[in-house]
Amino acid sequence: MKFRLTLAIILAGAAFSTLTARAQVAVVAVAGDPGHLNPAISTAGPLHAVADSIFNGLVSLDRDGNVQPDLATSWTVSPDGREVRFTLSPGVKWHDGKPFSAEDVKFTFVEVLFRFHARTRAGLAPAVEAVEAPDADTVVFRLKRPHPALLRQLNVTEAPILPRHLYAGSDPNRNEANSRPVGTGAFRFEGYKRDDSVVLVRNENYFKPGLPKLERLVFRVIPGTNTQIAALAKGEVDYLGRVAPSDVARLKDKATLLDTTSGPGGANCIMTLAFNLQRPALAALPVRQAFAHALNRRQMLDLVQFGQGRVAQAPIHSAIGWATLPGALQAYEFDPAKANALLDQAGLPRSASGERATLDLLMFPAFARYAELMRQQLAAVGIALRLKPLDPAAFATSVFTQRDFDLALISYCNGVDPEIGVRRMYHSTAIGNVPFSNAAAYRNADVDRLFDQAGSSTDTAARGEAYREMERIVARDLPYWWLVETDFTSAWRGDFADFAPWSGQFAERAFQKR
Amino acid sequence: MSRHARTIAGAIVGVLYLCCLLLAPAGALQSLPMSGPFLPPSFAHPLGTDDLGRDMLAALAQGGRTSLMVATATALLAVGLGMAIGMAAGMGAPWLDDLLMRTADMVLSLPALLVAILVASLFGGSSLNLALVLGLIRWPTIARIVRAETLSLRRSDFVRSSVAVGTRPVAVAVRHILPHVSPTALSATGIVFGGAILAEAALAFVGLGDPALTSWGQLIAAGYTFFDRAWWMWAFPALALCGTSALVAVAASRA
Repeated sequence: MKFRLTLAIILAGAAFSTLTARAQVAVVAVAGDPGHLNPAISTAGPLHAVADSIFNGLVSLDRDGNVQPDLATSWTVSPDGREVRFTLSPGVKWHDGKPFSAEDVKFTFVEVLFRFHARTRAGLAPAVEAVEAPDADTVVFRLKRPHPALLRQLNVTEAPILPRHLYAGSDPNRNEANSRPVGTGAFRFEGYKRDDSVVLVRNENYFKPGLPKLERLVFRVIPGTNTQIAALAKGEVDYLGRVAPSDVARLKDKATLLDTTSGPGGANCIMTLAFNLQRPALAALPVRQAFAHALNRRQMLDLVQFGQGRVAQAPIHSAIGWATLPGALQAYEFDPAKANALLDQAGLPRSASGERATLDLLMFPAFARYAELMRQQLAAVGIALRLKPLDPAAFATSVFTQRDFDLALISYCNGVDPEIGVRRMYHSTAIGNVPFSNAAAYRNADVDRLFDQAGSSTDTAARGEAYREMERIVARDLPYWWLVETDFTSAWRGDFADFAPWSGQFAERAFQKR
Repeated sequence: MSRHARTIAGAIVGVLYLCCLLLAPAGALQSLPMSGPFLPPSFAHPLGTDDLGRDMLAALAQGGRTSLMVATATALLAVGLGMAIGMAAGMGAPWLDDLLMRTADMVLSLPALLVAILVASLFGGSSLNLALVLGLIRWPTIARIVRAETLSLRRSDFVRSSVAVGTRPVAVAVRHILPHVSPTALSATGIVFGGAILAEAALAFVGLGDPALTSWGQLIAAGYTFFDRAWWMWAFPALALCGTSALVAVAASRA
């Protein structure tokens, strides 16, 4: 049925485009039904995979995380860093023909994003004093304090702009435009069949000249990764946003594969082992150092990630070049003998059966192979791991609410600015009942000060120096052990080009080769 | 099924399990040495290696040991309870018979696997918990058969004469009834044993097994992730599981 529908759509697309040589239709697999298509009130993956192509943010981010124009063509930051003024692109129209203006931006931030978008509400709203629209083409952000990460939190995934004329005075959660979205984006909404497909068509009046190039963008709901891979190999699907490392080998020679460090909703992720510093055994530094020497991270990269990524060289992701400190973890080479010596020294002798201690490792079921390999590697130095796979809600409760764990395996995404995703791991104010905050319960006044210093400055060089100083301290204190930087792999069929998997607007420039 | 076939099936299972017990490396998967990942069957690794480079034959033997331990403990518990309760119901007063058999009916209506999953998610997966749950749920099968046999034996002349000369009921049960109901009960135990093998693997397959032990179910689940990459990772554990439970079923079948 799904196949027939897709076929019908492809045929229909072909019939409409008799003027062009090829149909310019891309079929994209999404893992789940999006439910609705309002990206400003949810951070759900399948929803953003579809809806981000219908909307725009004020800015977009390129592959390296640099800020590029989107709805805003330019911006200026005041000398004290507390006022950011955006000039909007002129003549932008909503898909229903109404003109877009600064009032839409102000409305979306104040009435929708700051109230309902989980990350923007938590990560941006507290820093913003007011959003103002002095005229139709100008938006001004007034900040309570300098907030250097601001620009990187304004792309379509973090802050899509909604039409005020459809949402004003209504409950954004119940607005019927959620299921018939009207945006400014490269593609217009055409149809949605629950649990089956969403069809978008080209926005002929898109404000970026010459874009988009595709006529149609068809999203097919395909839950299983095995089915997705098979569909791509058979040509039923043209684009997969995420391919698991274990599946990459199956697509070699069958598709164009691209590795990126960021994708919508998560950028620059490091698989990290968190030590619960409130547990006496792990409060001892030599024990944590022993873990660092006992874990073979190269093997982890090869066996679990199938080589997709890098062994972590610093507490901050290597893609954030201005803040990372290469070689920060050099002192901890893989050396089981040293690990054994450190554990002996820490007063954890081997028992008659060869075991020193049994520790609980909590993780998402998706990370089971990391955990399994760690159990194997740590058994060699006499540490027995009890693996506890937990679903995300139970994991967050055990680790961050009840703090009932010894070790936790967490994929910490650093974000495109350390202020977004690194601060939460170390700052003493981030200890407590917030999911994926300071899991180690690490406290260090110097580290707090360095984060505060880096977070309230707009001088990139000075910020980088503060972050590097922070990295020197945490690399010595080891509240975490940084395992591997994981890449996202995307795949598309060879006759397509210019997909941008690092962005929510992944198909804005894509085209089918003639 | 001929007696001959049953004997052979039983012998094969016995020998296979004995091999597992004697040859399986101590500990669980994480104590096996690592070599190259995804190596197909070869002379060095007759059944290949898994995704972390561990020998599948060694893993399979460890799984067999777990399977045997759980199934044996379950069977012992079920047969002990089943025979005691069955004989008590058959020999006792009508009210005791009613009480025990209605209890058996109730227990029999519990879905064993669901209760085992519930217990495992509440108290953590452990082989002892699993054997307890399965044993405490599967005894009625045996109790019913034993009761029926006891009822017919009770009316036989040698039992009646033994009662007439004043032998106490417990002594009658042990001396005269037990030897006669044992063969039938043991045959039913085979079914309980086979069920326990499958239940242990099923729980481990869904990740609720004993984390300290290797299980065939766990191996099949791990192999399923690499379905078309390493057939030996799922084919051999699946074969071991199906083969063993089929052979046990044959060995326990009634002539």
